[in-house]
Amino acid sequence: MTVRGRRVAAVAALLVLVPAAGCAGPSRTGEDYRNKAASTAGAAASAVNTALIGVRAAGDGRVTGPYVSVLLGDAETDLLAVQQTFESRQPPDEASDAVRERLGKALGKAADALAAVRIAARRGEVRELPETGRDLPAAAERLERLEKEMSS
Amino acid sequence: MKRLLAVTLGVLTAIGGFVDIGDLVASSLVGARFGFSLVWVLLLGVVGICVYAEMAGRVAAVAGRPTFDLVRERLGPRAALVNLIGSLLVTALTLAAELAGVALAIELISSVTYLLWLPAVLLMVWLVIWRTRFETMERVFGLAGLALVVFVVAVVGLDPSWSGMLDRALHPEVPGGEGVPTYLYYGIALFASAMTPYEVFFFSSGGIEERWGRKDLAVARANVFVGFPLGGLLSLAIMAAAALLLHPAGVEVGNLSQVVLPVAVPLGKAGIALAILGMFAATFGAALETALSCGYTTAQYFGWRWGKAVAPRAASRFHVVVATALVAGTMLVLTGIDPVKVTEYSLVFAAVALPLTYLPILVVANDPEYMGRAVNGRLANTMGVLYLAVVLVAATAAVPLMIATKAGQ
Amino acid sequence: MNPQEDTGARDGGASNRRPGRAYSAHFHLLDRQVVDREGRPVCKVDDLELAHDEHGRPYVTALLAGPAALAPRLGGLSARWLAAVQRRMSVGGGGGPARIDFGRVTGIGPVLTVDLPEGAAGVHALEDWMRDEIVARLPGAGRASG
Repeated sequence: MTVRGRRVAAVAALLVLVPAAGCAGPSRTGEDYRNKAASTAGAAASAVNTALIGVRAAGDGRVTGPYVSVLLGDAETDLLAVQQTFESRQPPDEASDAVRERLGKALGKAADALAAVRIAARRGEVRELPETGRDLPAAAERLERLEKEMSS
Repeated sequence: MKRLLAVTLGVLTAIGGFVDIGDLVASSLVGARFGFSLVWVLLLGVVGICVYAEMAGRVAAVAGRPTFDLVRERLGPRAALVNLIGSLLVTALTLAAELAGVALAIELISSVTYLLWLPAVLLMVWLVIWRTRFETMERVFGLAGLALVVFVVAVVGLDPSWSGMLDRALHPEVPGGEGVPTYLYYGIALFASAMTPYEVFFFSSGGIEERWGRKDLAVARANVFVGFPLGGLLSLAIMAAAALLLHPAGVEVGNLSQVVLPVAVPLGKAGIALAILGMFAATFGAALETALSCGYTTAQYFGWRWGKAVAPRAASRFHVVVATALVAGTMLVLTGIDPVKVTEYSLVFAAVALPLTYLPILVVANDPEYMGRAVNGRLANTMGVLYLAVVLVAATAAVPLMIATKAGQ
Repeated sequence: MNPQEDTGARDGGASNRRPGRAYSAHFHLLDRQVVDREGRPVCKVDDLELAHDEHGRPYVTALLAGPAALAPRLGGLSARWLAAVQRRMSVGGGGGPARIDFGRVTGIGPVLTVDLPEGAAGVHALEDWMRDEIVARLPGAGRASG
């Protein structure tokens, strides 16, 4: 094998390995756990804020039904993915249990709010979305606060 | 009008090659996450692709030789085979992402999951390659892709502070909360999305399909200098729109539906319709380009007959390679793998493959035996060497950065 | 052959050669594209067949094409892989590489032009098989899309 050949082999190996790097790694210390909680809160806030922008645009009659239902469906899928990854993570100490509980609740609220708007959008209730999604701003704010608190 | 239509190869290459799924995702993602701080990378990429596409187009017009043909001649059969395999993997991965992009665009209009649309997309792309004239293909998808101009209108509609935007673009800083490695990782992805190797394979092969000769040098140049900056402008608009609307809200782009959001807010339903049309055309065009490029590179390495100008009967091996790539790409997406992730990985591996593509072009463009008096001038060589250095740095850093940042997390 | 070895091409009717110019087999012949009179791609020069004149100097007698000619030049895994598919891909009759007599070469430039007898496009076994078994069975295979 030439040097170049080896490089190609290395790239091929990475092609297989790297996607695995996206999965949840183990957290060994409480600090590590907090950092991961912070990034989870950030990703969740991103999903909720996406929905919020979509929902407000829907209230102004600026979006088509199929588009907004895909947008909200995607946001919900993203949120559920980060929620699941976070909850399957083992908290290393008791301080982490508290972090887990607080963020867990915030994620749950956000998931409920997103599910509500997704359901309404699929039913074609586009104009009423801001009303259906009235919990979204609070959910987003809560997640953003947690992100800030836990990354400090 | 005829002159205007003559630049459609450049427009298609740019719309389908520059503004493909990779750019839609990378520009929007980078804009939402890093604001205007990576605009300089996009500009760097646009100039780079112009430099090398101009060389590849000139070689195609003067020597009548497509890029991959020369790769083997200059690198020897062994290194060129490694190059071929690497390019095929990257191009096929990109093709998979483009097919998913077409299906996702249809999902945004129909709200029926993209996985169900994939078989239909596969069939449509193949039929266009099988039956449509090269020029028709170029014009339809290149011009429909221009609907993406709606992103430029959206930026205006978002009523930004122009001087503020300019200031942030000119004085880039890594945004708070982001590490320097992550910043560089996305910078490389963005750079690779501008300089993706299949763009030059397609552009030079397309020139030969259109039977460019020495007299068409002006057409070739016009294609480069109209098409790619136009593509760059559209990418810039996508990035700016995301930076204006999504960045302040802390949104991270992970879906194609989010890419459209900055158009929906200022422009409403008509904006959404145009953005989706543009995305459909751009990803469809890119799917055609990547599928054809798989065939072009393989056929050119082995010296087979290739192209759409001959009957499929006379270039059967070429058509078999194209169809195989299409089926393989579709199957990869049908596994349910996240198409946006596929796009991101394809960009990083494209960065690794960049030097293998661009070095032979630079060498041949300097060879008077092929080029006669049309060899590289001083400007083309200075730029070519500079960019080769940039490309080498990007290629070396891409994979270590990917590991260090866990693919940009 | 050893690709480093430079040889003068035999007088074979190469029309656009300038007198007194020596050709490097490595740079001017190997891995070049071969086209027919109409400029249609035929194959690549995968290897060369050499003979020696009375002074022991080597000269080129034929162009060799196809995986059977290419595989030995690659070496390693890729050579074995190519050799494995070689029977299908071989150009010309038998298992050996296709041979184009150097006398048929009418031009040496960026591409090598050869004067092939009509119907020589049918000598690619793999192309034949793919055309007959797959491509020709699809509707519209006989018309160029342009």
